[in-house]
Amino acid sequence: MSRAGSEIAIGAGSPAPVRVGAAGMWTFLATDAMGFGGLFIAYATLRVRAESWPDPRARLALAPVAAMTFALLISSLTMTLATRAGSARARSGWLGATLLLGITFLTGALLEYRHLWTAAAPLRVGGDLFASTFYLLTGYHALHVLAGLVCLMAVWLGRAKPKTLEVVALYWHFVDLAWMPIFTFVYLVPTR
Amino acid sequence: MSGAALETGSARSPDGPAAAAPPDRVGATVIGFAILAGLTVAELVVADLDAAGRARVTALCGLLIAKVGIVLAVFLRVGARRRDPRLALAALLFASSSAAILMLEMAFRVRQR
Repeated sequence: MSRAGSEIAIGAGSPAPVRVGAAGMWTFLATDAMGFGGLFIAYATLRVRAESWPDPRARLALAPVAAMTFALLISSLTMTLATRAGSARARSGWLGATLLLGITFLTGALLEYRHLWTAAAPLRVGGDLFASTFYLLTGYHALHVLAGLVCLMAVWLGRAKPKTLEVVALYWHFVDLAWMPIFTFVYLVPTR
Repeated sequence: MSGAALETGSARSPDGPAAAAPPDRVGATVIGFAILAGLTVAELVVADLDAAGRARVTALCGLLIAKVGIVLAVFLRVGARRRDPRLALAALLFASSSAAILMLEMAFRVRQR
């Protein structure tokens, strides 16, 4: 069943039919969550088996990362407000705010990498297990943020159908969700 | 194929994906966000506490679970969207359960060595 050939609903007539766009995104998110899950398992395994593991607080700056975390949290709120906005103007405003917050997060991540690479005791990829897993997890997440920003930009500039916004919002909330365990396990959980 | 594509619970406005949400739903979203921010601050406080490492890890995991639950309920609205995420959530639960079992098994093996 379609409208203008662009949307398909499965189970129309029932209380909550499935929209293909949203259902496809949920399926993608499930598979993507498994990707993150695999990385978390690898991180946990390597960390538990390592003879020694540095205290994350001693090697990573927590304050800027906490600020980045709040930027991502607020962006989820602005994204939700964008999807529920009553007018195109309000929606555009909330979307712009979401974009700015996402760019802030990504810029913060790049600045953190730069700081770690140029520090007196640099944290280089492949330097040790801590560094490798840190860059792998945060880099994988940063790529997701970048992809989300590209999608958001497309919606904001009007190159995507407005109805795509709801699907993009699902992805953006997932990016926020995926950051939470990274923040907890990589930055906060003490060594012993 | 013919017929309208129906949405998952919200009315649609002519110029966009969703009509203005009722104030109570926006309020619930803002409250959910405030709780999330509070839990994040609590995480930072717990990480700074001068308590035993095991107690801090337990507290941090509890806070993380609460945060994930709020994002799923308030932002992703898995309770309101019935069919869309059902299959995906089943996969998610399966994956996370498998991950937990694998991690427990790995921790057990490491302790055995």
